[in-house]
This record gives sequence, structure tokens and C-alpha cells, in this order.
Amino acid sequence: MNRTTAWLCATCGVEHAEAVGVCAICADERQWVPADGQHWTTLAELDAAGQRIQVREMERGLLGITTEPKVGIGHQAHLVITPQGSLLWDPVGFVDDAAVQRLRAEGEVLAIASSHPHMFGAQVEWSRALGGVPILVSEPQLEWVARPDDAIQTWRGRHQLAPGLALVELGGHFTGSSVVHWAAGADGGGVLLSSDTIHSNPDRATTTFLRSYPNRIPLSPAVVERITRGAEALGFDRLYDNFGRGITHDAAGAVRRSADRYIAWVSGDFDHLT
Amino acid sequence: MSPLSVELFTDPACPFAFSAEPVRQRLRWHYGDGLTWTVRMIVLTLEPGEAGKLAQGAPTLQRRFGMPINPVPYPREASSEPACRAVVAARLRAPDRAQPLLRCLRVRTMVGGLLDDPELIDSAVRDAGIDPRELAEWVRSAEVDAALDADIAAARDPAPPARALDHKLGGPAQERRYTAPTYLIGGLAVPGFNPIETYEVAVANADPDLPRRPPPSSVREILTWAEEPLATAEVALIMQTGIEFVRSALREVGRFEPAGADGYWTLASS
Repeated sequence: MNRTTAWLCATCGVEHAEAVGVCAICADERQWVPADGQHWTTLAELDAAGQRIQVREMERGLLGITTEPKVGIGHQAHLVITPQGSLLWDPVGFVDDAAVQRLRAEGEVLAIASSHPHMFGAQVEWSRALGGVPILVSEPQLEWVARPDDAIQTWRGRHQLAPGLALVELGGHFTGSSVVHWAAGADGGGVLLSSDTIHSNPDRATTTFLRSYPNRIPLSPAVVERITRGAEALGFDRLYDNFGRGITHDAAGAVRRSADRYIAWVSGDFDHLT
Repeated sequence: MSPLSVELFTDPACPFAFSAEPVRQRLRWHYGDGLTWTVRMIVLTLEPGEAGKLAQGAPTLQRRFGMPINPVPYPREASSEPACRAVVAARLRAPDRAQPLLRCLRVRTMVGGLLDDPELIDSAVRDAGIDPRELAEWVRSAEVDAALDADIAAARDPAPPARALDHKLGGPAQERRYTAPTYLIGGLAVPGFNPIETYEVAVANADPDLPRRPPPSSVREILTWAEEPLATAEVALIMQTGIEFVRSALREVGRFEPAGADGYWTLASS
């Protein structure tokens, strides 16, 4: 693979045009900079160290893409495949030839998009490897892009990529945080790729909503209600977050129940239990 | 032809003023010795709550304007008064060093340094070409006291045209003041943060005959001209082109020193 000179923050795995003093994404209150300071790596370094991409089928029409060993946050990207083309969602911070061939084998990649800046990964590198695929960045999040590129285009609100496949801005975790709604997923019940906008809990039955996951910063009841209503309007039976977890059935109901529980807790309804 | 006077009300602690450094650098590029600069200190931290606000850092400004700012909060609140006093002392005793000293102070505090730290001030003073022992004597003089007081008072007595733009002023209702940066260009008040075109219009109005150097032909020309390391965003504004185009060009001729969420460029051979 023809590697370019982009730098990757070793902590979050997001590509940068330059090895700057500190990654702005990690210096933000939602992330963290290691105690021993900023570290950088490159795709070539990762390649030489034996980094590889793993691709697995989550369900028909949906691939989960991870790096082995993990790069940055270690999240899972997804490829949503429709008859009109596919979407690479929350790209990981590494690219290899085998993964590119695998994705191309599923048909034309229509676009690359991320739910929020922590998930930008190596989006420009993926775009170039896939032949200049457009990178869709939610307009409020453009200021977080550390490696600008001509392939980057902005969107707001709702962006229909193909019939039954849309990016939807729900906000919360970041201004402009978004999800993917894939109507044909879950055998037609609808899938929500919720990433960190609506994060799936380890119990596989509930979700949560936070401004910061590593630093545990909550959101207000009003914002959680707004996110939940926005998601409910989409219609979905299954949900996948960005770490390989999800809720397989009645996911919309699980999100509603989780939101109600969250709002009750942060509103003080259960203070007598603490 | 006499040069056009520019009074720049500012404060080394202000991230808005630091984010406006590309404008100052471009004015220097276009007009060079045609402008005579006087930097005047607002001392923002005199106002209750201001040091607390500044201590929160400026992540949004960093992302929006791309200057080398460390986005994390400062470890504590700090007064900008000692640093402002140092700049005023330099202005009186070594006028050609006042702007370089202000720049050195800004560069240090924008990556997390505290402006009331004597070691930070000494280091900036040395980098600006001033003997710190001399400056330590200067700042104790009654003349510097009076000049700093005059700056503080002038900053809090905005010119009528600036008062007409109250949204460009800061401070409490009973004591409106210039925000940083505020330019007085040949007496024309340009308060607050503005695009470069605003200042160019003011210059043209103040002195229509002032020679204006055209944009540079290359980033090498800029780095050769610059007397101090320049941020990527500064080179981009002087070049009047996109930041990624500039970054690629800088890599060919420049040496990059990371700082905050970006860094500074010097000519590779220098």
C-alpha cells in the first residue's frame, strides 16, 4: 500500500496533517492525554509492527471492521451494504490492502462518515485507498478535522445516502453527533448504528448517553430526551454501538427505557437509594 | 513620507488576541516600516472573574483559528499584570523589543505557561533580546508604573467610534473597555476581533498613499522575511491561501516545531 505522511495520534487513532504539540481531540475534556505526554505513530510504523484489519459479518449487509492489535481507542467500524452502494462508518485508524479489497468486493463505497471526531480514524487515508470516496463530516464537527482534504464534504440534520440508508444528527456526545439509520437491517426491522451517541451497555439490554465516556461526564435530562425522541422517530429493532456491542431485539424500546432510567437518576428521583 | 501610527491595545493572556496574530503578521508583511507600532496593555485580569475565564483555556478558539494553543485548562488562575508591566517597560526602554517580547510571552502562555511566573517572563525577555536583570530594574521604575496606569486607563476609556460598537467592547457595564486586540490606526478605532480586510480598509482610509507590498510568491519568502517563528495559520493568511496547501509548501522549506495543537515554522536552513 502506498502510505502517505499522515500522523496518527497514538491515543485516539485520529489522523493529523502534522505531528503537532498535542492532539486537540485528546486534550478536550471528553478524552485524555497520557501522563507521559503526546505520542504519535504512522500507518507505515503500524504496518511494520504487524498491524492488521479484521473484518467480520455482523449480519447480512453489515460488516464489522476492527484493528488487531487495537489502534487508538480500539473501536469497531462498520460497512453498511445496500444495492446502491455502501457506507464506511466510523473508520478505524489503520488501512491495509486486504481490507480495502474486501470492502471493494462489496460494491461501490458511496461515502465515509463518522458519528463524531473520536471516530474520524484514518478517514482521509481510507478515502484515498478507496479511490477518493467522499468523506461526510457533520458541519459543526469540521473544526475538529486535523487532516483537511478535498474529499471532505459537510452535511447537517439528515443526509440520505441511498434508499433506506441515512445519516441522522442527534447531538449529545458532541454537537453534531450522529447515527446511521439502515432501514433494511435486522431483516427489515431497521438497524441503528448508534456509536457513542447512544452507547450500548455490557448488559446487552440497556444503553447510556454521555458527554464523555472515559471521563464520565453526563448529559442533561433534556438532551437525553431529545436524543431518544430523535432515535425513536427513525424506527429500528436492532442497535450496534462502536465497540461491537449491541441490542439485538426491541432496541428502540431499550433506548426508551434506558433514557427514562437515566433521566430519573440524574433528576434525583432515586437519591434516596444513594 | 511619515509612517502611519498603529496603537495596539492587547494583553498577552488573551487567546482572542493570539488568534488574531495572523492579522498582525499580514499587516507587517504588507506595510512593513510604513507602520509604527505601539503596543498598549489592557491588563485583562484586573477585572473580577477574568483570570478565571482565561484559566479555562481556549479550545474552541484553537480549533476555529488554528493557532498553537494547548487546549487544556491552565493549572491555576494567573495575573497578566507582571507580563504587561514587562512589555510596557520594554516599550519605554527598548522600543524595538516590545513587540518581540509580547510575542515571546504569548507563545509561552498559549502552551500553558503562567504569565505571573518570573521564570517564564525571564525566558521570554531573554528570547526577545533583553537582559532580564535590566528589565527587572526597569519594571520597578515610576515611569513604567505611570505608563502602565495610563495604558490601563486608556483601554478603559474607549474612543467614541469604538463605543458605537459596544458589542466589540468588553468589561463590566460601568467600565467598558477595549477588547484584545483593538487597533487605533492613524487614530481610527478598530475594536475587537475582525477579518484582515477591516484593518486594510482602516489603513487605506488613514493613509491612502501608504505603499502596500503585494502578497508573497512563496512560503520561503515569508520565512526568510519573518523575524520570529510563524504559526501555520499565520503563513496561510499572509499567503492568502488554504492552510493545507501552505502546510505542504512549508514542509518543503521549513522546520516545524510542535507547540500546542499546532506549531511554528522557521526556514530549514536557518
